[in-house]
Amino acid sequence: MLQKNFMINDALGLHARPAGLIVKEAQRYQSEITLTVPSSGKSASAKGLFALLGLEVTQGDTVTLCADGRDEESALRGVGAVIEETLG
Amino acid sequence: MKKYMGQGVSDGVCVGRVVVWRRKVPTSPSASLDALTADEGWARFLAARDAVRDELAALYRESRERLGEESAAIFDVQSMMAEDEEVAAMVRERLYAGTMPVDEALQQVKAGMVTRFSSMQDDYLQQRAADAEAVLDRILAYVTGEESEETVLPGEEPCILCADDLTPAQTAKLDRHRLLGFITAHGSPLSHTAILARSMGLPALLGVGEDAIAVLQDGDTVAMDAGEGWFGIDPDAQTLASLEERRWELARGQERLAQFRGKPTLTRSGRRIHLYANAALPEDIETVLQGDAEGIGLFRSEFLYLGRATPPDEEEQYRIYCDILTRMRGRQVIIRTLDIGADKQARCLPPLQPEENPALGCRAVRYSLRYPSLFMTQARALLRASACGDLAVMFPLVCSEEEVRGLRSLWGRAAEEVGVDAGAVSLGIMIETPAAALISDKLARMVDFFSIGTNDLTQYTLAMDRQNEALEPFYRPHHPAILSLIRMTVENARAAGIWVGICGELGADATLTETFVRMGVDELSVAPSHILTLRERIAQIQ
Repeated sequence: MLQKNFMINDALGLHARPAGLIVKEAQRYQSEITLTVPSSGKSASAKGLFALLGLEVTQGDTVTLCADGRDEESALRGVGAVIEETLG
Repeated sequence: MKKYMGQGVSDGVCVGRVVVWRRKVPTSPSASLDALTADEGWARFLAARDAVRDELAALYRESRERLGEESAAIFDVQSMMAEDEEVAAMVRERLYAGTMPVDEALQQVKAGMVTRFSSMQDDYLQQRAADAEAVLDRILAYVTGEESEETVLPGEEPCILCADDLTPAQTAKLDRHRLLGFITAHGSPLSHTAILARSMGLPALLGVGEDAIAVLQDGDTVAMDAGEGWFGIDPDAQTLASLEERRWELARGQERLAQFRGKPTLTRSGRRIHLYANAALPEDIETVLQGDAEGIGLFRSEFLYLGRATPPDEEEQYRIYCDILTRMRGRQVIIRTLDIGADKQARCLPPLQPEENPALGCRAVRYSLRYPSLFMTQARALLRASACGDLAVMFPLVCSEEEVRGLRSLWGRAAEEVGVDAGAVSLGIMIETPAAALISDKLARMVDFFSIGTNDLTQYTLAMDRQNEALEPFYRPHHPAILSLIRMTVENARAAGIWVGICGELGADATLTETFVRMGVDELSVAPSHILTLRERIAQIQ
């Protein structure tokens, strides 16, 4: 299992458009991919839009991206890049 | 006649028959679905879900072509909501527990989702409840075999459309030519309905409440006044007469202005003033042309850089500039180079050190001179696009001759790189600092034109932030110091034989138009909606 932290700088937090792009990317991998918000303890699969929005991530939050499975390395890189590009 | 109140969007009155669209939600599970096995119910859900997802994805592609990525993004998000794994899992769980048919399962899941979003703290996320509801209702309509939501206006007469709220899909598909106005139970000035109404110039009344919509029946005659914010059913003679008067009042104003449409802007003595419009995005061009502008006096190119992960490359910028020039059909287009920094930060550009005082910080041409490769990309795209029409380029927030020399040398290098004659494009600078105004005699010898940016010039001259409400008692937009700087700039431009324009809010201030024209200003660039008003004003000046 691999994991990495990201800081969310976008003023709207984790909003629908980037969440959708994260879901699209995450669905390309077999690994189980989750996002966790350490400050609230909430966790959700990165492959579901409603689940991601339900995390209620706001500007300034740190999130932990976690990938577990055969392609965990590329999953962490791919999804991580989308998070950095759209919200970092 | 009882008046129902709401929030008016765009001015205007209308009287007409109403068409009422009520959201169709089956309240009781239909009998035929009861007879399905869990497997059959599940298959039905999957087929419905895929149909809705494909429909929304197609709508996304179509709207992106027509309206651009920003307006279309909502459909992409909704199409992903349609195929959400969690929704499918919850429907499946309820189905295979064997206690309810597929439509009831979906109803329950929808109710849960709507509650989940509605109870969130964040305003933005709360509003997503409406998206979730719209998507799941659409799937439900397919599952129960009901028609999907209405997008076709019945009959052939123009009508007033009434609804709880319109979905983005409905507003995108509506036959706009047959609408007189809108009335909705919900919705805010930022809703899809409001945006549509404004762009069509139709009266709309939002947030009248569900009770008010409930009393309306298809075919009722309704009178509404969006400016005053009310509608009434079966208007009496007195109401109709006063509405007619309001309509005349509005129309007289527009008619008077309409005679100036398509005409050159001339003073009574026949001096020509160029009346241009401000624009920020390719989507604005239509409004610019509708407003009857003679050109674009300020295209704020930084908006192409905002809200995206990577800056637009040379090819993309070239295509955008070319498209704008082509659509302006030979009218002049003045593009301002990247004016980033201070209140406009672009995520896709190299970040700045946090600044103590961003308004006095590394912004506009200072940023361009510090990151020349960004500037060069834009310069190459502009130079290549210059063949598509009448292009002029101006640099924002110039303070010194050295800056102009630095920018001109980068510009010359870019011209060499793309093999375009550097002299093919008129180059100008914005005069928006007291420093630039005070040395405008020297600067005038280095460029082809000046454009006076009054918003920044005012803020820097008075040392006052216009957004700061506490300063309101001190704020004097017509301060003699500002008018002196403008006069000095105009005189120096004329002495050097270059033309000079004004963009920024003072340019649209009709009480100053005569002053500016008398000073010798050649061009005014204002919001498209002010063009005809100012053309009328200028025609009255000797």
